[in-house]
Formats: sequence, structure tokens, C-alpha cells
Amino acid sequence: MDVLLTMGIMLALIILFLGLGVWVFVGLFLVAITSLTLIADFPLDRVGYIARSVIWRSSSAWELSAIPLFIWMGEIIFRTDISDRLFRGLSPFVQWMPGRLLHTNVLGCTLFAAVSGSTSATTATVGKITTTALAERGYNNALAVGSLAGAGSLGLLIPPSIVMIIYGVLAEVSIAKLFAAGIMPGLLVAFLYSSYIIVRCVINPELAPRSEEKLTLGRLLNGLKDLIPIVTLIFLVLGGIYSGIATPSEAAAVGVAATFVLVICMGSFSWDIVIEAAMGAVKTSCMVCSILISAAFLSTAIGYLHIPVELVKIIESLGLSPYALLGILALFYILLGFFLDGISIIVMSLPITLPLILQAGFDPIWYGVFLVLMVELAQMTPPVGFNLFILQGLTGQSIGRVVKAAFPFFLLMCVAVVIVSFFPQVVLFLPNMM
Amino acid sequence: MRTDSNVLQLFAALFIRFASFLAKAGAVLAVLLMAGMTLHVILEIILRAFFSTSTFVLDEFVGYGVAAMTFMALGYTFESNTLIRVNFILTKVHSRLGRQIIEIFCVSAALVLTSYIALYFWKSVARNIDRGSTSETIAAVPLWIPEAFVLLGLAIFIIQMLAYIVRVVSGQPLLSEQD
Amino acid sequence: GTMIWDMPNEYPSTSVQGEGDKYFGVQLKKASKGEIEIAHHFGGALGLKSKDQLDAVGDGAVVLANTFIPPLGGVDPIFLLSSLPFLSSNTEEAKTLYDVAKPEYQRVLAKYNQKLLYASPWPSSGLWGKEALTNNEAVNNLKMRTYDANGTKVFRNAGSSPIQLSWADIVPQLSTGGIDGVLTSIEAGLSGSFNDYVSHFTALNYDSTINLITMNLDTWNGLSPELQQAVTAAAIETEAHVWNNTSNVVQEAYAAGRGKGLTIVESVPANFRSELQSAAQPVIQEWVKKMGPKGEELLSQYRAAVAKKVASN
Ligand code: NA
Ligand code: NA
Repeated sequence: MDVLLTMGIMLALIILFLGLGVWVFVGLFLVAITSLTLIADFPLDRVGYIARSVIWRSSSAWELSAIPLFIWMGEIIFRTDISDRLFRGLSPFVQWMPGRLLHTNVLGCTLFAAVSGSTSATTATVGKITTTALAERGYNNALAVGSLAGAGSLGLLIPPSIVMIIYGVLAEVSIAKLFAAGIMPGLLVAFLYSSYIIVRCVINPELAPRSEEKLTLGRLLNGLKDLIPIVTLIFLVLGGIYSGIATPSEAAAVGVAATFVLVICMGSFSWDIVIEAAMGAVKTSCMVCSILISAAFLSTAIGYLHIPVELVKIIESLGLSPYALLGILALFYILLGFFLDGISIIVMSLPITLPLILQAGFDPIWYGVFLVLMVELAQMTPPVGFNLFILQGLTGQSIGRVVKAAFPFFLLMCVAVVIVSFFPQVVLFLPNMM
Repeated sequence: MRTDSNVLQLFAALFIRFASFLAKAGAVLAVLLMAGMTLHVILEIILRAFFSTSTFVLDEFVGYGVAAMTFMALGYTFESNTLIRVNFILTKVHSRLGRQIIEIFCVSAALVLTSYIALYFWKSVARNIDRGSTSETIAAVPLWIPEAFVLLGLAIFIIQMLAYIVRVVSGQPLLSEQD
Repeated sequence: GTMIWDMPNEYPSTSVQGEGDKYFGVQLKKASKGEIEIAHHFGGALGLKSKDQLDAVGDGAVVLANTFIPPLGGVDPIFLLSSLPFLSSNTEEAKTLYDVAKPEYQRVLAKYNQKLLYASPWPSSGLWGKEALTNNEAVNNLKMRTYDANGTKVFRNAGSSPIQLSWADIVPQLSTGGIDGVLTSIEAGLSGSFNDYVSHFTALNYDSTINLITMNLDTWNGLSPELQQAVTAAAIETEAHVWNNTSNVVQEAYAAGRGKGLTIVESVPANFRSELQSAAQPVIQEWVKKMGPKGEELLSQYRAAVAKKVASN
């Protein structure tokens, strides 16, 4: 069957099932099963065996453990005064900046990205700490939610990054160089996001509440004191990884343990908080992981339908110039990104797109960063976008509002893609120094 | 006639409470699994840093842990309305009966789907018991044990959804009407 | 019309196993006169790992698969044979070991509703490290990553400190000095760019692991005799190709490694190897116990075949 027709049918099915209000993870399963039985003509029994394997493999993955554990850490921070102190401590430092605490999402995600290799964990953890606090303080909701949807995916670009490790193995390029290559583009994206917040808040100061504080040395020192707990936490987790005591996959457990120790030292430990935080973490991570599992099954279905291969065949037949090829590939990934989660986009398409891109004369390290940016874009696009789902879960807002809030940040990420395409030095500067 | 309906109501209430209890128990088990995973990682770090050794089963056990906790918590997450849905039709339908019908459709779809998945997990568990297959690590864990957690979690989820159908039919508030 | 067979493989398209699959796809298309085409799914793109593929093929979730067999050791111990440490010392012996065990592989695979098409070898594992690991002192107390239970036991017996890490954590641990050695093949290490962190690869010829390419038995039985013939012909052709190609692959990988500044120690002193072999004995005995009389029989057949080859040279 024509590949574009297949994709059209799948899109219609997703809109139908999700639109009716079926739980997202159920809906994605149903779309995958319906596509396999109706389009690929698989017997239900075969689909059942496939489903069992893929569900088991994707749910019992060790890499997934970072999600519940980081979320647990976020829940504890949220329920103790670590998060209050964080915002109190930051406010004298950011009050000269238009948008003030709105920058905490960008800053928080950039810092957290240096600890965590996954998007879901970054968005859910930082979001748990910031969304309520920003709403309570009267900050503009769309900017808060949108910047989180965008910055949450920095977890993939700033090392350590699971996606980059997988790309490095598949494309046979140095993982250390890939890690180095992600840093500048990551900071570029963060810079674009903060600039956008500043511009919006200069145009319309109502987006951030007015500051009544006067900037004094005393306030700054008090602020520093309030930042001690969170800085200690970051220091313990980052120090654990960069000293080699813990591995990046273990960072989440180190984070939980460090948070416990910190809470006990601060004297704010109580069993009620621990239990409430744990029950909350179990719920949120069940929501996130169940969607991840169903998305893994959806991408398996897309693999069985040979969609990426067929699409690339079409692109290949066009015989494009290097930049036209890149433009078409970007569109191809944005299109796939409507349906797929991060890692599967790369795994399924790389064997066919990498030879094309190398032939066109692009650097494989640079292409790795380009792909990570594509994956980050996919996290922000409906109907299947993880950051959107996580933010819907965190804020209780409708998916439509979340999508709308995320859209400017999606465009800014596209701007970053254009910048790194025309100025590849942004990516290659650091790895070339190694 | 009246006593019949009272008995029915009593059974319905008991069933809902039973489902709720199971869901809570599943969540508590999930919390214990999460704590266990954390402790296992910490133990691994200590063994590696100070004793140059390893538990040798970290990624295996933590992997089982994530799968088990996700499915064990499914019922509780459903009951507390944390599983997300897109809802844009449900919020537009103003007649309560209409919303009830859509809600029953959604739960039935979920029920059919999870029963279908549970069937294949059941087949796999039965087959692995029959074959005596184990994992390839030093622990040689019988493969049916971690998968049985998934099956158990799915069972709790299925019972929770049945209870929700009872709630919808008996006119209690819909999940989409909460918060 | 054309039949399209989905074929998963856990490894990248550029790995030896990926190259072998592509070769098989070409041969099969030719032999079947275009009636059968393979749709490759590399890098685990169908969401399956090797340990899932035994059932995936048996249940018909996929028609055929290229499967790394040691992780299936808990299903049947025969799948551990090729990964027994220091049993074979070169590709030729590895092939002999496979030929001896082939009927047993076929028998066991038939139990899981599948047909063995062919076997495809991996370049043998060695030790990546900061120095040449060719004697006891170098290996003693070496903090290293092994990839299976057998390797852990052997290197513990040899005095090292084997630990377990997931593949993604190896590079961060090498870069921070958490570990100093990794047991894996030259090819796998280069794809993980271990050469950025360690300077030496010592070719221990630790084991002679193979992947088995198997096909669903029902699909096989449903094929016309001509197509069965075509599949068999393509399998025979591919098997010869991948085994003959192994030493080339290794030499190419060595050249690539040297190009990146890696020092490759191609042979280890005989006395050191025999020390490692004795450290491996308990593991081999344990395997024989699991297998029962069949295990002892396979090993003595293998030893006889190797001795015969040595005598005839
Ligand atoms: Na990261
Ligand atoms: Na998307």
C-alpha cells in the first residue's frame, strides 16, 4: 500500500481513538493493533505474540528506571521546602531580567540535563518542582508550560545522553565527541528560549508579576543561603557521575539517596512526606512509562509496515542537492515525529538515511546532533509527543492548550536547526578541539 | 423487587471497594519495588567503589522492577485519574447520558485491549513454567516470575475497570468530571 | 507476488552480523528469482532483543531472525556451547565446534518450532585495556567489564575484579576510571569508541560466539520445494561467505583500530593462555553437568575433530 496513505490512515486512527477520550496508552496500542491487522493483514494471534514481546522488552528496560527514580526525587523536593527555597533564592538574582523566574524552567532543565540522559525524566522532574510554584506566583502559564515543553528535551542534547550513545554505536562515531558536540547547540537552544522569554516580557510586562523587592546585598546573601540545598544536591549527583563513582544510569538513584540525606539534615524529614512523595511518583511514572511502552509498540508496528524505508526510498529517488536533501530529511523526521518516540526514530531510519547523508558530504558527528534536534522536535508535536503528555499530566490542562503553549518553542528549536545547518562550526567546534 | 436492588447495590459497593483495595495494594507494592530498585543501585555503587565487585544482576533486577512497578501501579493510577487522555470530545458533550455512553465505550476498549494483552502474557508465563526457562545471568531467575507481576498488575487493572463500569452505570461521578 | 520476510537483528547494519544479513538477502532474492525479499530491521528496530527472537520466530511474529544465542542459555544450555571460554582458539576451531554441535542445535530449535538456516560467527573477544594484558600481573586485580556469567566466573578465578555494567555505561566508566578493562571483540569496542579511552586491545580469543539464523517451521513447511531449495541454497552460500570472511573482518578491524592509534596485541604467550584455560575449567565442567551425557559427548567429539585436523596438517 502507498506509504503516505498508510500514514494517513494511522493518523486518522490516532485522532479517532485519542479524540474519543480513550486513555493515551490504550489508544496508541489500539492504533498499532488496528494498523497491523487491517493494513499489514496480520492475524490477531501474531499481533498478540508481537505485543507481548515488545511490551515486555520495552517495560523491563534498565534505562527506564531513571524515570521513576528522578520523579520520586522531584516529588520529595516538591513536598519539602527545598523547592520554596530554590525560588526564594533565585528571585533576587533574576529580578533585573525581564521574565524573572520564568527562566527557571530553561535554567533548571539545562542543569538537570547534565545529570539525566532522558527527556521524560527531565521534563517530569523539573516540571513537578516549577509548574505549581510559577502558577502560584502569578507567572504567565503559556510561557511557563511552553518553555518547559521545549527545554525538557535538552536532556538529550546536553551530555550524558542515551540517544547519543545509541547514535554513536549505530553510526560508529566517537561517543565522547558526540557528547562534546551537543554542548554548544544545547546552550544555543537555552539561549534562544531565554531570549524569547525576555522579548515577550519586555513587550508585555504583565506576563511576569512585578517585583516588589529591592536589590540589596543582604537579599543576595539570603538568596545564596536559600540556594545551598539545591546546589548541594546538584553537586552530589554531578560529582557522583563525573568522579566515576556512579554511572549516568545510576544518577537517579544517587539523586534519591542524596535528597533523602539532605532532607534529614535540614530537619524536614517526615514519613508522611516520604510516603506521599512515593505514591505520587508511582502514579506519575506509571502514566509516563505506560505511554512509553505503548509508543514502543506503535513504533514496532510502523517498522512492520516498512514506513521509514519506503519514505526514504521516495527521498532517494528525488536526487537532491545536499541542502535540499537535508531540508527534505528534516521534513521526513518531523513527519515521523508525529507518531514516534525519540530513540525509535533514530534506530529505524539511520541505516537508510546515514549513507545518504555521508554521500552528500555531511559530517557524521554533526548529523548526530541534527538527529537529536529532530528527536527533540518530535517530543513537542502532537498527536504523539511525550513532553506534551507529561505536561498535560502535570498541569491538568487540555492537550490543546499545552500544544499551543509549546508551539513558539517548537519554532525556536527549528531556528536552532537552521543555525546549526548553516553554521556547522557551532556543533563541530568543541569535538574538533579534542 | 426492592430487596433485590438493595442486594445488587450492596454487591456493587462491595465490588468497588474490593477493586479499590486491590489497586491500593498494587501501588504499595510498586512503592516497595521502587525503594528496592534504589537500594539495589546504591548497593551496586558501594560494592563497585569499595569492594571492586558487583551484584552482577543490577540491570536485570532493576529492569524487572520497572516493568513490575509500572503494571502493579496501573489500577491505582487509573483510579486516581492520573492516566492521561485527550478528552476533547468528552468535554464538548453536554448530555450526561451521552458522556456515560462515551465513557463506557472508552473503558470497554481498554478492557478488551488489556484482556487481550493479558492473554498473551498468560500464555508466556504458562509456557515458561512448563519449559523451566531461566534468565542467562548468575541469578538464573525463572522467566515466569517477573512476567507474572505484569499479569498480576493487568488483572488488578482489569478489575479496577470493571468496577469503574459499575460506577458509571450506577450514576456515580465520571473520571472526566473530576478536578 | 513477492513475499516480504521481516528479519530482525539486534546489531547495527554495519556490524558483521548486519553485513551477513544483507548478503543473505541478496542471495535469497537471486535464488528465489525475486519471489522472496528480506525486510531487514537492524539495531533492534522491531523492539526485539536476541533473547526474544527464539519465541518471536517460533510463534511466527517474524519469519526469520539473526539471533545471538548465549542469552538463551537459560532456555537450553546448548546455546552456551559457543560462548564457553577458551574452548576454541581460532575461527577454524570455532567452525569445527559448530559443525559438531549442529545436529543438537537443529534438534533443540525444532522443539521451538524453527529451522536452523545457518550460523554466523563473531570475531572472538579480547581484552581492551590501558596496557598489553598478556600476563598474570596485568590481569590481577584488573577492574573490568564482562558480558556474561561465564566471563565473570573465569576472570574472578583468574584474580581480576569483573563487574557488570550495561553497554551504555561502559564509556562513562572508562572515561572516569571506574573500570580499566572491557572484555569484548575488536569490532564491538571500536563501534563503542573505546579507543578514545584505552590504548590496547589484547586478542585473547576468549570464545567463539555465533549467531544462529533460524526460520519459522510452519512458514518453511508451507514453501514449495523450489522455494525451500532456494532458501537452503542462499543459506549455504551465506554461511560459507560469513565464515570465510571472518579473518578479513578481523584484519580490517585491526587496521581501523591501528589507524586510530590503538595498539593491537595479536597473540598472547602460551603459558598465560593455559593459565586462563585452567581458570575456565570449572565453568566448562559446570556446563557439562547442566547438559548431561550429551555435553561430554559433544566436547570429546570436538576434541577428536580438532586433533584430527592438527594431525592432517
Ligand atoms: Na543529558
Ligand atoms: Na511528536
